[in-house]
Amino acid sequence: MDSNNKQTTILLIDSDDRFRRLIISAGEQYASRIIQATSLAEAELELPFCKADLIILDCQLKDGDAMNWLQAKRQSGMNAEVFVITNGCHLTSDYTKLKSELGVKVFLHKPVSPYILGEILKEHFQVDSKPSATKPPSDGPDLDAIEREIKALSTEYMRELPERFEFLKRQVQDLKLGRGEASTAKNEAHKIKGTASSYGAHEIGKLAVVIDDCLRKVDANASACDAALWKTLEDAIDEALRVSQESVDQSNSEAAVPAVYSERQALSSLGLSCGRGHNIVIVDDDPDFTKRVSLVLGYEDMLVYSFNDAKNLSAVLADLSPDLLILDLNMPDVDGFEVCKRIRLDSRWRNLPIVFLTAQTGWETRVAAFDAGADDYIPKPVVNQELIARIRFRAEKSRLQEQVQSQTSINQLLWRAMYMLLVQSQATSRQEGLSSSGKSG
Amino acid sequence: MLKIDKVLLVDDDDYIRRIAEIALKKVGKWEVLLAKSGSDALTVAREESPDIILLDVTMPDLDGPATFAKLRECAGTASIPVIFLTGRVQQDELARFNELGVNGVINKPFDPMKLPEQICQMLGLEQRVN
Repeated sequence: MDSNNKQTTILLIDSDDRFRRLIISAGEQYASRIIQATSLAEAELELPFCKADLIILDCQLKDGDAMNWLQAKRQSGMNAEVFVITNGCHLTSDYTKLKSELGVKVFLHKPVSPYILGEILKEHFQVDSKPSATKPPSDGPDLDAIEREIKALSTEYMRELPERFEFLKRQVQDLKLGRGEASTAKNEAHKIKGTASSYGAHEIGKLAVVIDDCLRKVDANASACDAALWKTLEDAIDEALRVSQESVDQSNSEAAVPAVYSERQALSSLGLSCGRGHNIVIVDDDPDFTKRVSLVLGYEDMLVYSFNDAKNLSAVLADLSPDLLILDLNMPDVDGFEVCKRIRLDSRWRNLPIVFLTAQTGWETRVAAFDAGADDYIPKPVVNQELIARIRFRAEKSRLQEQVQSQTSINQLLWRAMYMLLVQSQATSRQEGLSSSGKSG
Repeated sequence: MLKIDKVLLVDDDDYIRRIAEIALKKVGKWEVLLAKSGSDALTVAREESPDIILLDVTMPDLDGPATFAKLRECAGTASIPVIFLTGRVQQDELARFNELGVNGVINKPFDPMKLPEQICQMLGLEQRVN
C-alpha cells in the first residue's frame, strides 16, 4: 500500500444491517477503517474518539432527528465530510437544507445499486489502486477475480430466471388447455437445465431436470399425460419460481459490491459503456409509488432521487442536474402541468427529458401533457419492463444529443480558431507584401 | 502434439457462452471464438482454424451431431478435435455420440473453474499455465 495514502476513517451511522454490510464490503476495497453505529446515541459515543474523515448518515434513525443532530454537530465545529444515504428526506426542502446549510457532500436515496455506490465511494476514497492490481500478473490466472466475475454474471443470470419460469408457467397452463406448442416450453426448460447449475444454482438445476423430463413426455403425447404428471410439472415450476425469486431478493439485499463492481469496471476498462448510471429525479406525492419506481430503476443501475413535493424543485434540479425528470400529474398542492411549464421556462432545463407518469389516461390529458412540454407520457399502472425501456431510451437519447451538441460546439470553436489563423496569416502576408514592396520600391 | 491456443465455443444459449468464455479465456488462457449456431460454427471453423471445438448438442436448425458431420466432411476442419457439450445424460445417447467419433462429451452443467482442466484431460494434454 502506498504510504501516501492515508487510511480513511468512516463513521457509518445506519440501523440497517444489510446496508452496513454493503458499505463495509465496499470500504474494504479501499482499505478504509469503518466504525459502525446503529443509532445517534452510539454515534455520539464513537464520534469523539474515532476522528472520522467521513460520516455516512441515514436520516431515519429511531432515536432522534438526524438532521437536527447534524446541525448541532456542525454548529459545534464538526467538519468531517458527510454523506447522507437514506430512505427518508423526500421533501425538496430537506434536500436543499442538507446540501446548502449542512454541508452534505453526497446525498442519495435508498435503494442505491451496489455498482453506483461503489463508483461514488471510489471517487471519494482517494485510493486509485484497483483491488486486483496488487497481485503480480505472471502468477497464473487470478482465480479470485475470475470467481468474482462469474459471480457477477451469475447474479445477472439469476435475475432473469423468475421471468423465465413465469413464462414456462403460462406455457404449461396453455398446454394443459390444449393450446400452444410443447416444444417452446421444452426448449426453454432444457436450456435452464443445462445452464442453471453451471452458474451454481443447483437447486434450480435439479427442478429444471424434473420440468424438462415432464415436458418431454408432454411433447411426445400431451393427451396421454395424466393428472399426476401435470401436477408434478406445475409444482416443480412453482417451486423453481419461488426459489429463483428468493435468490433475487437475497442478491438485492446482499449484493457484493466487489462482484458487480468488478464486472462494470471490466466493461469500462474496455471502453464499453453499459448505458447505465443515469441520474433520475422523480416527483410524486405517493411515497409507495416513488419507492417502487426507485426500486425498479435503481435495480437497472440508475441513480434515483425521489421527492414527494415540488416546492424547491428548481434548486434540486440545479444541484443534481438529472438526466431525466419523472413527474406526477396530480399532487395535492400543485399541478404537474404547471410544474412542467415552469421548468421549461428556465433555459437550463429546456432540453431536460420530462416524463409524466399518471393514472389519468384520457386523450385530453395526454395532449395537455405534450402541450406543457413533456417528452413522454406513461400511464399508471405500468409494467416494469416498459417503464425501464421508456426511461432508459429517453435518458440515453438525451445523453447522446448532449454529446453531439458539445461536439458541435467544439467543432465550431475549431473552425473559428482556424478562421482566425487564416485571417491573421493573410494580414501578415499582406503586411509582408507591403513592406517588401516598400523596400523594393 | 496438439497444443491449444484457440478454442471455438458453439452454443445457442447466451449465458452458457458468456460463462464458458470467461472460463476458457481467464482460467485456460486461451483465445476464444464464439458461435451461436451450427452454421455460424462452420464458417468460423473454416476461417479461423481453431485448435478445438466445443459444440452444444441441442441447437435449433443445425444441431451438434449435424454440425459435427459437416465439419468432418470439409477438409479444412476434418481433423479439428470436437467435444460435445450436452445437457442430456442418458447412457445410450453418450454411446451414440462416442460412435460418431467425437473426442469427448462434457455434461452440462459444468463447473466453469474446472472446464479447461476437463478439456485438457479429455484430450490427454497437460494444462498449460501461462
